[in-house]
Amino acid sequence: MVAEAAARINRPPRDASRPKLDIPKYFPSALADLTFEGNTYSIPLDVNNLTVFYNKNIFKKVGQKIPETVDDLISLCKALKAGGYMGIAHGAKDGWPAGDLYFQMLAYSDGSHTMLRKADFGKLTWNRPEFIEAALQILKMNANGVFPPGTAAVDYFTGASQLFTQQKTAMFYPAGSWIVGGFDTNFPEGVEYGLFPFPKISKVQDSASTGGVATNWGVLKKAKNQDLVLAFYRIAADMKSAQILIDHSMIPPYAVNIQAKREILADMIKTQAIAQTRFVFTPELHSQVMSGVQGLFTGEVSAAQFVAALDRVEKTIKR
Amino acid sequence: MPRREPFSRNLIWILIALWLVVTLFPFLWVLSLSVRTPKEVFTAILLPKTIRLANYLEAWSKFGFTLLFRNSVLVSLSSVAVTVFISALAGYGFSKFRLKGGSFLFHLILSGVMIPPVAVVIPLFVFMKRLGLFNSYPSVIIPYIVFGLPVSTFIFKSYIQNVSNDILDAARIDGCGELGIFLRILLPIIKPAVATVTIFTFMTNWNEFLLAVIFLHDKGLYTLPLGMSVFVGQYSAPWQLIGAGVVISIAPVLVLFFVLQNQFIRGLTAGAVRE
Amino acid sequence: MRTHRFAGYLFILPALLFFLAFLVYPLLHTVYLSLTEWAGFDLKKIAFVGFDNFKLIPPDWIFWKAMRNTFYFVVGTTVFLNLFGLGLALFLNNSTRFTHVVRTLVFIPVLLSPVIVGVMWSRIFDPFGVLNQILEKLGLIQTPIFWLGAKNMALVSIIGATVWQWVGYDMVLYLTGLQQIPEELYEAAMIDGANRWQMFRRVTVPLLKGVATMVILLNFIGGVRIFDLVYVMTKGGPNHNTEVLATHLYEVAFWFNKMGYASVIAVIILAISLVFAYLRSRLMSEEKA
Repeated sequence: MVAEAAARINRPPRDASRPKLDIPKYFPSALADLTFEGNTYSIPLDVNNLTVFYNKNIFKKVGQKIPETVDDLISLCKALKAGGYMGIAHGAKDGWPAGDLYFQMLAYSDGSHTMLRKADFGKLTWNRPEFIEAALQILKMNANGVFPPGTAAVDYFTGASQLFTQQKTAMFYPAGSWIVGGFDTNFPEGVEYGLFPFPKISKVQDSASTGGVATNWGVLKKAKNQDLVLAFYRIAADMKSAQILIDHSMIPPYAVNIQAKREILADMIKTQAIAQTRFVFTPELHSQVMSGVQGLFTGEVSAAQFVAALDRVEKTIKR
Repeated sequence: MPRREPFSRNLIWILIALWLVVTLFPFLWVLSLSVRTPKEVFTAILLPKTIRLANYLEAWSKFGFTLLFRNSVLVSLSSVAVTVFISALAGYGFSKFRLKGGSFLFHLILSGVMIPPVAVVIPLFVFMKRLGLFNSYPSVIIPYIVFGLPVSTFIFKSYIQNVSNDILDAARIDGCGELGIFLRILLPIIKPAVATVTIFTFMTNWNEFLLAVIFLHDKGLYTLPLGMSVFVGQYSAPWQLIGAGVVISIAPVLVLFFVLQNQFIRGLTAGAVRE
Repeated sequence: MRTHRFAGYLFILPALLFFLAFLVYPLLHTVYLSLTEWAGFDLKKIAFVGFDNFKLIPPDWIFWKAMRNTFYFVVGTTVFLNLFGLGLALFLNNSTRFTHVVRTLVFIPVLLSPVIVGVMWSRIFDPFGVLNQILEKLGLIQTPIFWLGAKNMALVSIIGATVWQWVGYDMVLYLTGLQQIPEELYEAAMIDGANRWQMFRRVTVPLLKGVATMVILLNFIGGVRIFDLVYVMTKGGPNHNTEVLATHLYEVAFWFNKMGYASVIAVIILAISLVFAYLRSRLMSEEKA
């Protein structure tokens, strides 16, 4: 839902004004989401950081450690299955989590981290190894029992989240700061959960999570009191405000020295530094990525068909 | 009808019983779900071991039912009131006055049933934006009124046609103004039609979703169906709370239904097949 | 007499004005908008493009998937709604306390918002939900069935939920029709020595034909415009396998921001509805005669 809203807001509006601000050192990935053809249209309030949440109690019980690579993940899930647990609860039915999964794998298959943005704007075709690799990884994980069966039918908030809080799965993805509250409320007493970035494809890579802007603020050209608004934004971007954000379980969009009181939030802030942008602005392409991943889960779509469909959609777009 | 052979008779009863189970089971299951503790959400099939009524209080505040009910009542009642009033007026006009082009205009309005709301949402979207009404109560109330007009006008016209002219003429001779005749003489007589139309349009508007999801963006404006769908799609709602939320949503309608049974059934199937 | 007639015009005026302004005008506007291109944000930027939008239909494979799904949905729901509706009506056509209770109970789902039906059935159809639980307990399945997650099953499940909701409606319509068949015809047939099946064929069927056609058309008309249930249960997924015309329109208009193209879809939905509606009005006037 957040990603949906962000997609709508982030669609370069033709009427927004360009704020004249001293922009603090925002994470480049955060600003990149809000910049179009050199103009920044809004500023981020907070960012999302998508990682895998895991049930510490279950991991301890089954005697497993945090997986580094996809292969580690697959063996981990086999061990979990022997212990009566499922792997990663994933709400593919809602579409956007499935899209996020793809972007996450792409962050590993495309080391340059530039191809997604280019393809999004029609400057690159989708039928290339990096895009195909990301889809293949999803197929590989699904075939090897990483995700519960029928994931394409499981929705994010009432399906996958329940699987995780009812402790039927040991992990949950994609988890961001927005879901911390829900998990706190719904987990039984005594269950601890932590996070780790999604396992990488090869051992030699660096771990990368994906992130993106959550709330962002712009100013309309016809707004009154523009100075007041911009002053407010300056205050909001200040380090003191970062403390307020963190106290409300939100992640500031720039590096902070503040230690969050909760470990999970502190971890999220840490991993934000390694986050890659994940976003597709063109709605038709974003929709096709989401549907395509659902198709990967139902076995309807092969990796080659996945990218071919995206190229087909690109042809129908008038740029 | 004559007696049936015992074998097929039993088979029939079994089939009907089966359908009854299929019809009622979801309700019973949701009811049972609504009182479960989180532990038993996935374990018990129909009868949980512990019952937790506090779920209802939790669901009420989490879903924000006070606001949802208030909005639905406001939107439904106001649109129904207007629909009933102007379609009764129109039904009277069409049936008791010889109007030139009256038949054409009546059939024009009646033909409105052919138009699926989804086919005109975009122009309505433009319209509401132009009028500055987008994301406000009128943005749904007005379409609700309009979509209720065809069937309501038809029901009123048919009903009023059968009202004897004598009473109306008598009132006219007595010097009663036309509007007065309508309000004081006719309306009391056509109460059954009013009831039918009220039930039909109220239920349609109460359950309406498409227009609400397109036109109402402020959370403070959400009607019941919209609130339910958003809540289930956007928050980590545990199943027992969803169950409680569903029970809360359907309780008022069920109560009304059991009180007014036959009228309800007649009202909801009105205008479907010519009497 | 003249003031009399004038008053008549005044009486129909409010309804007529509402109708013209908020139904007729938008209807014509939909057709106009299908010839324009507009993103839905700035009212001043509605641009006329002629028939370009219509050319977008053939390559739009989501549209064709939606057409196909809508067709299956309409046919599937109509067949079962009428089968079960008529069946229930036939066997519950006597006036006992018991049949009255059954009829009332079967009608209850009709009262619900499709959103509520969708929320309920989504939980029931969940891979770890109660339906699979029961089937597994009964030993009928070993692994869970993905009611809403498998390619073809999803649409079947949505059809199932729809039939569950609306059988009571068709049943009531058929009951009304059955109750209009004069008792004497059955008695006459009985005197002629007809058994139950022959009575059904010779009395019930011919006299129900009109009602049946009406109900079938009603189901068609309702099926073409389906939105709420699909949107809540699957949003058209997975991978557009439950996409229907109305949900595709919604996505194109409010997600892809292509109001013009969405209006083309609207025009198509309208055209299909008008065909069914025309058939229905032809039948109604034949009934009259």
